[in-house]
Amino acid sequence: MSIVSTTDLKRVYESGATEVKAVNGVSLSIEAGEFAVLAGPSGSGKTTLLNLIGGLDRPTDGSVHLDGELLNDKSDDELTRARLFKIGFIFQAYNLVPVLSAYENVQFILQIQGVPDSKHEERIMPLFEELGLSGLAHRRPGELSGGQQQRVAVARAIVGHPSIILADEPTANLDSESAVALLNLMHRLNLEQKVTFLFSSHDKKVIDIAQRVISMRDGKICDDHKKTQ
Amino acid sequence: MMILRIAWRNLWRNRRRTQLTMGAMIFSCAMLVFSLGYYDGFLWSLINNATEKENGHVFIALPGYYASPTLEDACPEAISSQIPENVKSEIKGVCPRLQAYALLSCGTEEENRTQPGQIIAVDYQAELANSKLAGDIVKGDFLTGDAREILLGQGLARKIRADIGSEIIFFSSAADGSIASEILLVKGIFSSGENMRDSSLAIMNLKAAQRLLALEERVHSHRLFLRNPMQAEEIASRLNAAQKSLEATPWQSIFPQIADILKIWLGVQLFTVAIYYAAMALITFNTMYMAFLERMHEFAVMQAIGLTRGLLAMLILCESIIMATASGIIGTAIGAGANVVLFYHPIDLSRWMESITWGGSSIQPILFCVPSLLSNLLPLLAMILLGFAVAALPTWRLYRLKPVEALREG
Ligand SMILES: Nc1ncnc2c1ncn2[C@@H]1O[C@H](COP(=O)(O)OP(=O)(O)O)[C@@H](O)[C@H]1O
Ligand SMILES: [Mg+2]
Repeated sequence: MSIVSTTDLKRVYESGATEVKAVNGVSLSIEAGEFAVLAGPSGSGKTTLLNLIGGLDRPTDGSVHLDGELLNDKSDDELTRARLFKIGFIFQAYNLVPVLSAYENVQFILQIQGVPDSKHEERIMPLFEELGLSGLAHRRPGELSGGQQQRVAVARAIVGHPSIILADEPTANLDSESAVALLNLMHRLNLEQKVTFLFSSHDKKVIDIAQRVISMRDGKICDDHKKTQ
Repeated sequence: MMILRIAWRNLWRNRRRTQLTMGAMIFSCAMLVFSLGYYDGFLWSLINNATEKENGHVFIALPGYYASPTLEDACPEAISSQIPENVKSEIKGVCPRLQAYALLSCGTEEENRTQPGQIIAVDYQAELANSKLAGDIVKGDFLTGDAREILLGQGLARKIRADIGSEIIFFSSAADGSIASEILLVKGIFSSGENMRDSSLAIMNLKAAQRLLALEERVHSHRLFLRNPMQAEEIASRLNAAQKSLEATPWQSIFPQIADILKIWLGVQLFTVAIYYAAMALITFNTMYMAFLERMHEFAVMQAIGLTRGLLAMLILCESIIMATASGIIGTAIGAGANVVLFYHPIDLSRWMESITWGGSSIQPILFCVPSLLSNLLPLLAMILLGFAVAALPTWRLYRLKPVEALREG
């Protein structure tokens, strides 16, 4: 069963007299365990599509199913719950809570999910180990480099065992070395822990690591191919 | 809970802003508590000035005596058995008094001056403990219990040309119809500031007067001094309910003008709180709202990762409630502290200001405060309410926040 499936998805922005068809009829399905990238130039609709899939935005037309559930019908608070339990977000600007330490940023998710406190450490520490963050647990985001912050963001996205991780240009703020390192980490999590990833990028080096490349242009999918290992 | 932790740390994030906002809140709360304490102090002095020399907080005498006093209508000196226990515990002191009219003269065979005067006879120890009678002495001393002592008002002393140590011939009629006369010695001269009173009043010892006026072990009135003068009406009605042989009159019936102020007092206090905090709300609201707008992006992120709007509202509420409550507690402590200090050590401003006579009392130029539960709780509770009020608009904005838009902006 696919984790995400969209049918003829459309999102039209009306700015004054002009209409922008940011996503213009996308039918897409992501299977469990995939490591897929949305590739395409700036303005091609990647962010809009990810937001629609993540329930942050509502489509003008078409439908989004997440884990078999139709998102269109859900109320705002239901969408928030769906994001909490089913989706892990990674943002271009990291977006960690600045007043919380790296550890607390990750713990925050477990707490609002209602995971008992006694379970937090055993869920977070191995993840920090895996992501090379063990020594940085008590630092605040301001005391971490961009690459380190983004790894904390990865930990935060993954810790709640979501069905899929959505990452909008996760490497755009990183230098190419950190970018590739981060992608390799994400790929390893994908292979070892079977975490499903859908991320966007226009960086060729990053795109090359993906196992499936979905190319977008003008709000439409213009190419979708899987690499053979 | 993480929400509380975030709220708490956010307060320290922009330390300067938090300090300024809290400083303003603490200051206004302290000022408010202080002002309310001062209002209460003002009212207390007004009541005390009206009551302490004459009628006490509750005036007890035979039924009808207060309205039309006569020499014969005297009640027993010992009334302890008539006072219910739940009243006794509220009483700070009792001053028994006799009241009569007499001719007072002073002088030599050749030049003698005589004046009619009002005599009040007091238990000097009870007066020293409860009333401010002794404070009016401007020359000589207060009574010491000696049978032949008399105190004269300044005006009266001038009229009969008496001075400390002068012999005064006291001439009156006793309750049994006999003639009461005695030679007394001027022990002290007093000035209460009220000319009428000072030009006709003389004060002597109760024991001596009882003997002279044939009223042994009898007095005309008992003046109760209460721990809390505001309770006078309540105490008087308890006394009147408990027995019928004596009549208790609270100061409120004697000074209706002052009692009227008391009736609107709570309103005045609430109004003051409202004014203070309306100004306060504007200041805090602005800074809080700015702080909120700056963090719109952060709120959007939290919503994106799964924090419901309810929890976000809670976060905002926590921040403003923590700030308001902490400021309220500190401010109340400071204001109440100042009230307590001025309750025990009032500051006398008579060097710079005159006293004013009003409504049968006088307003003294004195910085005196009464700390009360109400004047402390009212500002504190209002401050916490302010915390809720200040959080209201940000919370409303939050409910309309579209996370995608806020995220894109950041
Ligand atoms: N809030 C908005 N209002 C109007 N137009 C928008 C808005 N968000 C995005 N767009 C437009 O939609 C198109 C797709 O944008 P976006 O999804 O951000 O593409 P990408 O992430 O691939 O750069 C662009 O033309 C962009 O200008
Ligand atoms: Mg984009």
